[in-house]
Amino acid sequence: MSGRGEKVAIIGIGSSTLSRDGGRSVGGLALDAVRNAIIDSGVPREKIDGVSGIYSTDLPTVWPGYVVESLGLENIVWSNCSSPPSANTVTEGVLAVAAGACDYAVCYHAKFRWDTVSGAARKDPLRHAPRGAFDPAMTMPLVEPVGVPNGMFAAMQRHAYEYGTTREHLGKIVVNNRTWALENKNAVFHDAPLSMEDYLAAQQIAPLLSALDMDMPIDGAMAVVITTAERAADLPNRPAIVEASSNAVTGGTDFFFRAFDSYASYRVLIERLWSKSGLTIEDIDIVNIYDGFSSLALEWIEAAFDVRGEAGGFLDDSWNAETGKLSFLGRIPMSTHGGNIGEGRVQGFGHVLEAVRQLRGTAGTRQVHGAKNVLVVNGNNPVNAGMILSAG
Amino acid sequence: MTVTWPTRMDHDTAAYWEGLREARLVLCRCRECETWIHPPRACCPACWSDDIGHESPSGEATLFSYLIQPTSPNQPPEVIGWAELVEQKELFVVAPVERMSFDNVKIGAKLTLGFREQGGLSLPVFSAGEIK
Repeated sequence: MSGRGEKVAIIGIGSSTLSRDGGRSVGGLALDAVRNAIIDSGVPREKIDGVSGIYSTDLPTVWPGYVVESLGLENIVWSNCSSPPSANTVTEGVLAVAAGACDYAVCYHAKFRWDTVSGAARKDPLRHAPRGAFDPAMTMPLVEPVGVPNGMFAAMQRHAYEYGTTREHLGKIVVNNRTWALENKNAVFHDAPLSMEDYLAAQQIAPLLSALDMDMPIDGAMAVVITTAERAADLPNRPAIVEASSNAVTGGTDFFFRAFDSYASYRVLIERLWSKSGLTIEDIDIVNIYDGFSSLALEWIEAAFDVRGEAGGFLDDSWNAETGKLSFLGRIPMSTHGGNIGEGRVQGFGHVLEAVRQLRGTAGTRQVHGAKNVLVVNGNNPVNAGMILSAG
Repeated sequence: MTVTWPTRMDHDTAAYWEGLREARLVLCRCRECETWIHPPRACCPACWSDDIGHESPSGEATLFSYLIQPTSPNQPPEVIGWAELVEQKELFVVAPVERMSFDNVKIGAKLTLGFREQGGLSLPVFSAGEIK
């Protein structure tokens, strides 16, 4: 990071189990991830002095005070609660450490298969979500009479209309992620291969999208520990250096009326990452692309590779039907952990953790040899975040 | 889902709901620079003026995009349209589109504003006219 001139690094990663039923409360999952990340970092818990979480009232998780109290953290001098996606809690921690607001920040997010996101969960007495109205753009009543339609689906229709995008194109994203998930034993779909044929046969629920195009609702939490690169030198893990991190907001910031503006925000974010890091796509070895819906990944790919309106052909050119995987520019794999679609929905946190594993060289059979720089992007307009991590 | 309309209104949206009581689509429009603003906001995003007036657009629109919304089990799904009003680029009203079914939805189609009784209000609904 520039400014004080001191770089910041991710030095610990942790996860809960990732499954349809983790047998734990959402708070318990968060505590699993936070403890595992602190243990992994090698930092004594007394030294943890910053905590950052994510809270949105539609799909509640636990805020920093819960984690501090439950884990007996007694020296917290900085805390934060940001909006989703997961990379946002990481970017906040990076800023806090870079600014000297704290020395060792633990940043987490927990997702839970509430009865608001899973039909099957409605029969489970342990999954009743707290009721609250999540309406930060103050527009929801205006669309309630028409069933609160998701503008992201309309954005996909518009993309197909303008650029001729098809389900065959989206299928390459989905099958890539599901194929990579087979090599990730923690993934919710670690034992469930998906062929292109099966994908294309799926019922379109919100055309062009089927249930397979959505990330998988799970019980799962993840966390990272962040400090300066200088302090990281004395710790056990190879650090993942944050070369740049940012988030971008543009145009209409409303999921209902103006969900067509996400691409513009992605471009602002990506350009910022390139200019702050001094890197370009040519320097990137892996792209971990957000896939809350496959249609969001489609536009992130356009932004990362600067191929607006050409994602379809770009995916065709990058597709290997034999392996069921994508390879951009002939060498860059996407979301080697399986993304949210294959690993499970922790709102993009898996994309961060996998980048760190790849840069440490601990990604097992998924390891991209000599991976030096990973691009991570999360979310959509107006809540997104991205970063470039490099091997320290 | 807990439905909060139209009781959950605020200083910005009250004029919209009041318009629908008498079958009028009332949108915010800046009195300084004439920018149309929807969803309603307290100040003009273009010129920052606080002088926000309320006007009814012509009702002519083009279908910019849509989705298919499931309704009750025995009813056919409904087309929910993003109607781009002719008054301004990307000025959208999100409303059902009648006379257009799942099989013949055409982005770019010309739409005309009408109203449909629901919950004691006349809510906006568009109908498809000639296909572009």
